[in-house]
Amino acid sequence: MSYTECLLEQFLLLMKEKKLQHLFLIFVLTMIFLLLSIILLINYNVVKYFKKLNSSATIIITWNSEYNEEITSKLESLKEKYKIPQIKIYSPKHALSILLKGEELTSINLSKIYQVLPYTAVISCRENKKRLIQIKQLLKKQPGIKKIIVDSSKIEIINSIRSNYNYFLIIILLMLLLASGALSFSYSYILKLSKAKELYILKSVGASNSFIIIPFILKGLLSGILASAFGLLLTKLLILYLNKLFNTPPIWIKIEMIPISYCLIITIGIVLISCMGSLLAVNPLFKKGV
Amino acid sequence: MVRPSPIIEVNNLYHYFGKKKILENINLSIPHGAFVFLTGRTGSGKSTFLKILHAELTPTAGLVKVENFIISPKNKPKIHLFRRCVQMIYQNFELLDDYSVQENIEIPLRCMGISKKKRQKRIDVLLKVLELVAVKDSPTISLSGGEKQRVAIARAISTSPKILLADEPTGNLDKRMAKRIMKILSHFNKHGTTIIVATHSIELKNLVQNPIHFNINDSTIQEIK
Repeated sequence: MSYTECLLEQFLLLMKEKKLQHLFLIFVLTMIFLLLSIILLINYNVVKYFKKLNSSATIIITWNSEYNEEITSKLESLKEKYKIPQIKIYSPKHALSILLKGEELTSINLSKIYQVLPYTAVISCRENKKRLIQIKQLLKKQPGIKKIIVDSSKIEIINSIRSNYNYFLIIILLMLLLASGALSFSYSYILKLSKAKELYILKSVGASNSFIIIPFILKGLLSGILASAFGLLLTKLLILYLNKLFNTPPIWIKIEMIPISYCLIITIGIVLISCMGSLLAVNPLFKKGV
Repeated sequence: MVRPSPIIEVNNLYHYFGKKKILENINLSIPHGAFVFLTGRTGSGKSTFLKILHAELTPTAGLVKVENFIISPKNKPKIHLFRRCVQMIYQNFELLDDYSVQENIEIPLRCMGISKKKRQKRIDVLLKVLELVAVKDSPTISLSGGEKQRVAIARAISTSPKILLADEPTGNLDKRMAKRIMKILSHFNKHGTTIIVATHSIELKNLVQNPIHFNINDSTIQEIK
């Protein structure tokens, strides 16, 4: 018990030194925590969106006007059966207006043209790609349907961006963690240099390695924990601010807080790296055997 | 007169700094409770020998047995346990200038994990014995050479070591203060601490009763009777 008390005293003596540098270290570690949580925050919200997008698809079908009644009623029954939120049906008139880009037709017999031009339906199913494939199989058997196109090209592009984005994200996360480790290392190294004489005396009068090293590790631990607490608080405040900014009409984007597991991972990462930095800085003291 | 059992035994000790020979085939034994003078010219290897006895340096060859600890090129004792048994007083005192006299004496006691109450008791006794009560709260930077040396002795003796090594303890002091320091060391020697003093001034041995005198010359050691 008294040894722990002595260790604590030694730790407090260590903390007395270089207070400004220590505050700076906590500030930078907090900023790194904030950066890490912002990156994970963006990733978490974007991934959620991608997941929705990835499970969505669109089918475009076309048919001639002679089958219109039959197919329209079929689509209506499918809409009800599979709870498809929306099926957009475009008539030949609509198709023609797209072709003519808004120009009016006066001398052409429009009814004949409408008979030739097909009807089009766009069926979109968000978050339920499997259902859409079932619908496609059903529609294939339906007489009168000329073409069925499954459009997922946009999703494939977004997915490829997402996989590259993940590598980029991992690199940034590692770089930030390395930066915090390097920072903790340099602070402890400066502290060690400024206390070189004291550490030498401590060793020469019989201090054990643990007695010298534990206060340094505690310092790293404390910096990491304080930085994580401040970082978490700042992240929470940032989300509140962003939601006030974007979760209003007409944007309505709700930014959700990263899960607790993510926060824990960053906290453990920052604390561990901070401790490791301190440990690496004082480690050479024990190789010399002074 | 039969000498008590040895507390330090040195067998076939060699030490080199690179190719430079410092100590060669040193063999000696120091009994419990002895007051030993180690003399020799400047650069003869006295400090190196003390550093080996303090496990600050590992010998190139040979074996040193201090109490139950063995120092050899292949074996290093558990430094913190060893240093609690063998303390060192340095010529330049090695005190922490910003710390007060009390705080400097407290350092080894804190390293041993002694409670604050017990520490204070021990410090109070040492301050009285070494006549440092008046300056106990002063930072050591403001002290005279003699006072600094007494603080260094108090720090070294605070853990009640079995062996006290002193490297030129009077090197920076005048004759009157040197005499006082030797008197203090004699006092602790009478209480059972084995003391080894490395010095180049032979006249110091006249201040102590029954000293053992070793002289280092040309890298070898000789006992002078």
